Amino acid sequence: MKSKLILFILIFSIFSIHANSLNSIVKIIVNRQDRNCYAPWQRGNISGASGSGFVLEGGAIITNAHVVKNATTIILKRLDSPRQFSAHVKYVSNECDLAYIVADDKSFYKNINMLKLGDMPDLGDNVIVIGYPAGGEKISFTAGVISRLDYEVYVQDGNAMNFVFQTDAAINPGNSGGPVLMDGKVVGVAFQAQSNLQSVGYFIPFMVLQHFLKDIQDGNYEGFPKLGIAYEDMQNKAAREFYGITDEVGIVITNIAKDSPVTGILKEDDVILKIDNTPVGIDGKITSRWGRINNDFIIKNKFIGEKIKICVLRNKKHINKSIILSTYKKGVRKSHRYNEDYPYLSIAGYVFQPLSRDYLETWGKKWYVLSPSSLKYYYKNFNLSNENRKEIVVLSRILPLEINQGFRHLSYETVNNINGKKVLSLNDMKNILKSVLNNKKESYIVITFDEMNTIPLVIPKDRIKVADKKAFESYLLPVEVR
Amino acid sequence: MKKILLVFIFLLTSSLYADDFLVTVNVAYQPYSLTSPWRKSVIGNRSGIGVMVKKGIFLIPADLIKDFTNITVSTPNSNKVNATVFNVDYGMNLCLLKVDDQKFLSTLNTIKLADSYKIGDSFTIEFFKDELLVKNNGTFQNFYLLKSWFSPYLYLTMVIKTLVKSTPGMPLIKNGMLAGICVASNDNKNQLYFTSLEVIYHFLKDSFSNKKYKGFVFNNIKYTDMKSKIFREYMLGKNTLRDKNNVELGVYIIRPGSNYKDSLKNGDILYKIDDMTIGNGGRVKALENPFFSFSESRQKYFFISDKKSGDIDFRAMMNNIYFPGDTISLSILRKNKSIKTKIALMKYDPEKFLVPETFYDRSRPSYIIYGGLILEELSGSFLKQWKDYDENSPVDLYLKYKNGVTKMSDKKYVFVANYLADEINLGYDDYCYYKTVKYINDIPIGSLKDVEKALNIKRKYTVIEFENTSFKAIFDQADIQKANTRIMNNYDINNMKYIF
Repeated sequence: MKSKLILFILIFSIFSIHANSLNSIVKIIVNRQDRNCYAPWQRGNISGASGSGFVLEGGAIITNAHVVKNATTIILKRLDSPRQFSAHVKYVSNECDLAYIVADDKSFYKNINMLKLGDMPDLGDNVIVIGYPAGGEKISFTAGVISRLDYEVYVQDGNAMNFVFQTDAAINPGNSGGPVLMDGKVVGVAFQAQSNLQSVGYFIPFMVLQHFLKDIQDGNYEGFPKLGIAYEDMQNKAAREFYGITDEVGIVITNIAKDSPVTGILKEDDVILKIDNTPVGIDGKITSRWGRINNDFIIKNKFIGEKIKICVLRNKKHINKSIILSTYKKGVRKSHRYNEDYPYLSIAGYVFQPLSRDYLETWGKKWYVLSPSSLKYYYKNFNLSNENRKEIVVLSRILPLEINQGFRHLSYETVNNINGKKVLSLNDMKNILKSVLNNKKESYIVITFDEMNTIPLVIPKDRIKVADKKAFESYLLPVEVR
Repeated sequence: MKKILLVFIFLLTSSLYADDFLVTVNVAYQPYSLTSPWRKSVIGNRSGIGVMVKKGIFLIPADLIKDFTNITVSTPNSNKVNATVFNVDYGMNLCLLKVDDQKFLSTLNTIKLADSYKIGDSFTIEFFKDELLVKNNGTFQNFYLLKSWFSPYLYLTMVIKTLVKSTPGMPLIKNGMLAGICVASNDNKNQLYFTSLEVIYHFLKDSFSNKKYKGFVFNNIKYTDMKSKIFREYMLGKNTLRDKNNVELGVYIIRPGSNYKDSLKNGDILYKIDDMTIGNGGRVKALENPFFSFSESRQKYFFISDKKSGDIDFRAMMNNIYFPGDTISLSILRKNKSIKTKIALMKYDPEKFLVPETFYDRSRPSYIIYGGLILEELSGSFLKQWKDYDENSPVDLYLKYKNGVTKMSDKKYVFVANYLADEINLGYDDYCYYKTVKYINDIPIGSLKDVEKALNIKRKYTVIEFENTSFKAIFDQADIQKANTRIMNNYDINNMKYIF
């Protein structure tokens, strides 16, 4: 009985799409070359992949950012055409895993029946997922219902959380970037699945797609704003009384990130009662048409530069604060980097990189266990600390050369200063190194590390040239200081 | 038939050479639980081998008796008899057991200590298998400074290549005399580690000759060699620092040891201790013509030597030829100036360090339970509950341990070791696990005694603050008493605190 019902829904849904609209759902074939964080001076392996995409009213070809990541070529295949069309990425957002691509040849758009954006769906609504799963040549339909609205980490970003719709419609590799339709209109984009659970697929919700499309209207992608705070739920009765919370509304700020938009406006220990007039429950959630959802929903639907009001309880007094929304980028980068080379600095066979999630992942899938403890500590605590450094610079690789004999145990140490000057970022380090190299009074570059129980790294300036030449001959390592 | 004959010959040989200084040591043990510190965890048994070094006194590794409740010894031909601890040094992993049963002892003889030996020598390793004495051979490959499981001590071991699998305490024998006891193994490399005779000798001498056991010098010095030409040039400037044979001297001190911090600084180049020069690899020459005598006030010996270089890590030398309380003279180069300084050597005392490796003199952990939060002082033992603790234990605590284990301080880190869920701490579990306590009721916390004091302050709310977050665990003091009773009943707790 159940299977008959699903079949009925599927047939009904397919017929509700204008049959010709199917030609707007395209297969995307990509050649890519990944970046190499382990050896950032050279590129990684070349590989191929495929996914799905669709053409929206207005001509935007939408797919997932992960379908076109690190792409060297992008090919579009229409259902109704034997021809392949090359394309390029115009806008991409890794944090919401969406990309806007453009066909290089305008004839691609000829006779295409573009899809329309739908409306906000509700839980239990029927949807169909269309795409080219498992790299197949034929278009595929799967049907299901919207099971719930979740708040999850977007795998493409690796760190950023956003809202996702969960569905029981099958979403398989290759479906990525394909449209999720309700009544023939786009209500989301298929993007990731839960491999250890049955019938659990996720699609990017309508509001996230809409945010992305509005964001790029001015020709720039700026991203989602972030408050940059950590907070504590107020489930504990004594804690509620202590902070003066009288009803079931309020969360307490426990940490504020270095350059968060609330820095200097809100304080740790402030109780957030309302964000833009929406009460925030003691569980950190707000009431919505999809049930109680994370309060970040309010911020995620705003844009950078927009003003919001936050009502807080500070020392048991109500205060209203106005915040201009922004994002924050200082500190350890926790999001994956795509389509751009990893920053690094090299001299005499020593390679320095800023600490990042990608760098830690060079220890493999279990990086959170296997990477050095001090780096794990910085990763966890640095962004919320009061340190004035912008980045943590790591001595990431030491390529064996005569000049570094006796210093090779210093790998993975974090740089504190060079010839007495504090290093605040990789760029800062580059400038300090340049000034030491130009200072004729100094014969050595002396790098000291945060770890006190180690020797300084000593580089005799008069031997750098020979070492750099050897590093290039042996390891193809270019000099990245001068 | 041939096989039976071989087995017969083997058994005959075994019995012919049956050595009468060996006993099997059986230990019943039951440690305290570190996460539920008011109770003990499972009862276990372990066994090893002891060697009789003096009438009625048996030498074993100390880790064999950790958390013991009962110790017995036996031979293949005897019943088990009880043994007591005569002396134990957990830091150096050595222990002496005492047996009073004269009938048992009448069947045993004392083993003598070996004299000198060198890398490449062959030894016999003896152990029991199915109550039969088995002897096998091993070759002395190298020495190694092994870190004690119980303390930051490094102690000299001999690395023996052999196919024999490890049994704690099994002896290394040369010409019928004791050369070491087994303390560790590396099965992948077919290597066993034996505590060297220098260490054993020092321990025995101290245990038998000194009125009060002095123990070993805690060698809290971390150094880097100065073999790098560039580093030498940079550090020494115009100095050359060589001995009369033109050998390069000196090591770079990266951690002087907080107990020596007034005399030795980070960045010093240490090149001589008393009259012994230290090579650029951190080695001192092993002394020639070794001798030992229980009447010597300070034995100057090295039984073992590297066949090639004849030298040994200077810290092992310090461990073995000096006693805590001795004063030694150091020759150092500081900012290109030669300085002579003196340091008084000391013993490791876990109570005096910021993060003790283990509180081995008090196996029962100290704790305070408040509002269902179990507060303890951080120690290496707590972290070692995790397999591969350096990778898997909570990173904030691990770094505190790593940096604090050799740092002298009268403070300790107090942290949340466990969480007993109750309505009084509802909502706190996600925020306080393994967090280090910074303040309680505005009192800075540096020990459980501070916690005790801070919790006695009468206020409407008790506020516990932690490191790296402004999260606060808040408890209404009016509710605490009821909650404590509830928690004690629910979790079957007999005491809400125990402070050593």
